Amino acid sequence: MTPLSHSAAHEQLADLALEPAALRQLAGELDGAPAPGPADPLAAHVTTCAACRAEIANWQRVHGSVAEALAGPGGPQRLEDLALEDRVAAPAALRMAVQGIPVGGRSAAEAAAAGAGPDLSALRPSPLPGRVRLTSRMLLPLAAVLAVVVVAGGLLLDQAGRINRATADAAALAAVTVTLDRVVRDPRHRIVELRTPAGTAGGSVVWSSHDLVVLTTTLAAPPANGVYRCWVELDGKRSPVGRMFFADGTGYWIGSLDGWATISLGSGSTFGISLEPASGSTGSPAVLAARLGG
Amino acid sequence: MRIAGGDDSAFMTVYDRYGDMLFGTALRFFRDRDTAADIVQETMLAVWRRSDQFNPEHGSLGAWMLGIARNRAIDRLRAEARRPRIVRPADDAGGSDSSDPVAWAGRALMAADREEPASEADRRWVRSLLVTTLSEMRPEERDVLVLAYDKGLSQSEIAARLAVPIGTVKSRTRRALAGLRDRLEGVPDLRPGSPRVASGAPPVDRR
Repeated sequence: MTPLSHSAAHEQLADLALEPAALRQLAGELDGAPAPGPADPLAAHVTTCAACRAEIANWQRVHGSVAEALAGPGGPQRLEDLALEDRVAAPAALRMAVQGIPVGGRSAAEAAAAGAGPDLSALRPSPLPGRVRLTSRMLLPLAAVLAVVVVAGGLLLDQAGRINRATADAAALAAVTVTLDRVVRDPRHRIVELRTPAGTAGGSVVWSSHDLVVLTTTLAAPPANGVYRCWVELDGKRSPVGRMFFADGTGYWIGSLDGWATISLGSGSTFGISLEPASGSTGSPAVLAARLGG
Repeated sequence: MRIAGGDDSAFMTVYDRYGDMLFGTALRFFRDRDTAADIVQETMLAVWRRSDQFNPEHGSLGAWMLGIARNRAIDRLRAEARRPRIVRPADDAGGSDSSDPVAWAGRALMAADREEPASEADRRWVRSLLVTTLSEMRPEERDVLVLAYDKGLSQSEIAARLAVPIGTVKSRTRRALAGLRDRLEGVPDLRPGSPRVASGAPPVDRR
């Protein structure tokens, strides 16, 4: 029998992946059986093709994970039993809370509002009909009404802006609290004090094996073209790890040390915060720093 | 990634695309809406903070977010299980009517932990994810998956059973499985003897 080309084999595998039982059988043949002969051209191709073997492994993983998920401690379930539930929508309040997360120095809600802008067209006077003579007597009440509308509108917009900021601040600090709570519940958590160059206490760094939280009330929010960057320095080499955010007079940063982090908080290293240009780090001196153990 | 570049609108676009999926999975995992909402918020915050660490070559954005949510959910479950608490006799019996579903789930996990630490929490997460994914599928796609997994039917047998052309069955199954595969990228391999890492994630570094 003619050996299969890679594209023909791949096509057959794509079909086979649709049938968990058939894929399992092929994988079983490849695992245990002696080298397949020309009678089974697909198996013969797969034994020599790493890409096809990887594809089989990927699909086996999917089918295997489904099977394992169904084999719960309460006895095996059928997929049909899991397919009875309706779709769940996240509550609208959650979307608002997520909008309150400060992104890029402002809440997502503020960012959206900045893009759209409030519609002030309702406050503009309508064109007057022609040939109507306006006397000062007629204009005075109209001007008074307009003044009230403009002032009230301005107050409302200002109030809405303040509420947005307060909501964003509350959401940000709530997220800090949740993380801080998780960190301090870890019996292996560590706390070190941040100090200014003059040696005064200026905040704290607390971390567990998963998270790191930096808090300070010493720093004011940075100027528009600046940013407070966080870094870890070891053997004179700085590694940037994040930047400080500000909410209601508190500077904070939440970092994650789990799955995706690559920075080690080993002994002898220093955590620092410096005021840098928004365009990038220039290695400015630390405004707050803490030795991380050792 | 646009979020890493400071694109604020991309952040809410990501939430609108994945928020329901994250919330549905966390809700099924904890059986508690408030805790599920916390997990989604924490995940979105992590997405913003760590957006520069997302690498599309390691897996899809959805899988990455699910991986973050899974870590948060399992951490919280374990923390709840360890926290000393006064337990009412009715709750202690493990009834599903517990007033504190997270604590209930934590105790159930703790009991399972005594036998095999990682797998029960992960199995529970994958099952929650599976239910959520199935609930989002079109009914005709869900039906072919059920017949393939539960009855072990081949594509031609499914076509005969549903009285639809085999090409239609194949395209429905392919779509359903592609969605499933994408979602399962972000969870560890549950098969016995497999290393517990997600296929879409880089090696875990817990320093």
